[in-house]
Amino acid sequence: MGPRLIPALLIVLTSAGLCAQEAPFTEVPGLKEKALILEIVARVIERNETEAWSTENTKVTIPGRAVILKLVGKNVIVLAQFTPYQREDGKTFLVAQGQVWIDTPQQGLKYQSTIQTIPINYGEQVLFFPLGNQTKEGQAQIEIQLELRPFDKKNTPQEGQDTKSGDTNK
Amino acid sequence: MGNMCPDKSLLSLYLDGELPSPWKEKLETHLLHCGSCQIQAKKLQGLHQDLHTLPCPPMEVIQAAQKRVWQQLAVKIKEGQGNSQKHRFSWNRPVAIPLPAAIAALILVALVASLAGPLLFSPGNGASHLPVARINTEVQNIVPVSNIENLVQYLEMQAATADIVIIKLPETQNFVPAGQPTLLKAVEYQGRKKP
Repeated sequence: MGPRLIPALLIVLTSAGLCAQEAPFTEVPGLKEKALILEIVARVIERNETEAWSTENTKVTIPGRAVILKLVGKNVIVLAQFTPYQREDGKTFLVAQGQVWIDTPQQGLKYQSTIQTIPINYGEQVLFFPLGNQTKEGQAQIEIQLELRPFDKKNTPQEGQDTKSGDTNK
Repeated sequence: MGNMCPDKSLLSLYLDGELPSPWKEKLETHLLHCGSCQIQAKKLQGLHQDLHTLPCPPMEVIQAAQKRVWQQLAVKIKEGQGNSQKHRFSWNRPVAIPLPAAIAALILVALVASLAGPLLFSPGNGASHLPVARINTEVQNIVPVSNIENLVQYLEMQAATADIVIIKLPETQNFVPAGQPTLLKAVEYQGRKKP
């Protein structure tokens, strides 16, 4: 193999790999029928339990494939994975895995991890509180609302993010 | 004797007058045409006649013969018992168990089975109430590679560019831990009123 051919081959292989990644798996026959939509609403709950900020996301996945969410704040990073799966009896479950790194003046940098499973029906809303849900006066909290439904290409909004307030990026 | 010839036992039955119709008539027709069966029938008839015409032996001879047979049988039985005792001692002999002891044994067996059964047969040491994930998604040719080496590279590339939703939280907020991470249904959450 000549030295000129190697870079050309690398370019071809890389572009082939990238094209393969960009192809949505819902276009693959056999996976489209199994695809699920996970609607995610991340909220910041301020004092008096009012919603200070929220952002909405829609992700398409299949049973067993995790939707990964990373929330980056001033003193916190939350890495959450939500994996829907269906049992043989047809019941659907959602597995939530969370890793939290939080820096507080009192405790310093703290790491916390969790994994929890909950039965979920299509259209049912589930809440995940990565920092806990025991809100105290004057402390902001993170709430992640999740809703699962079967994939329907006609009525499915494009994957993406819609933020009501605050700066976000994807 | 040809293939269609009757069995010797049928011939014997016929000669003893014990073969019923229609087999009797069929056999008679066969005997008219089959030489080998005629010979066989004559032999059996001769034996039959000999048995009836032979003089009866004296009683002493009969008794001596019986004695010899019984002695030989006794020796055979003793040898047979010696061999079978090695293998069938506990199985062939009836064992008498008192009724209260038998009942107590049954209760003990039932108790042990009820205690040990769930431990032995439940999957995951009694964690059967937990949901078990069985995801059987089998789709061919979804990865554009043909061998394991390329697959490893492909998966590494996928991991590097994993589809992660990154959300930047408001800079103005400071967060504090508020208990353990919690996953629950929205209808069960009473902490906050919906906006």
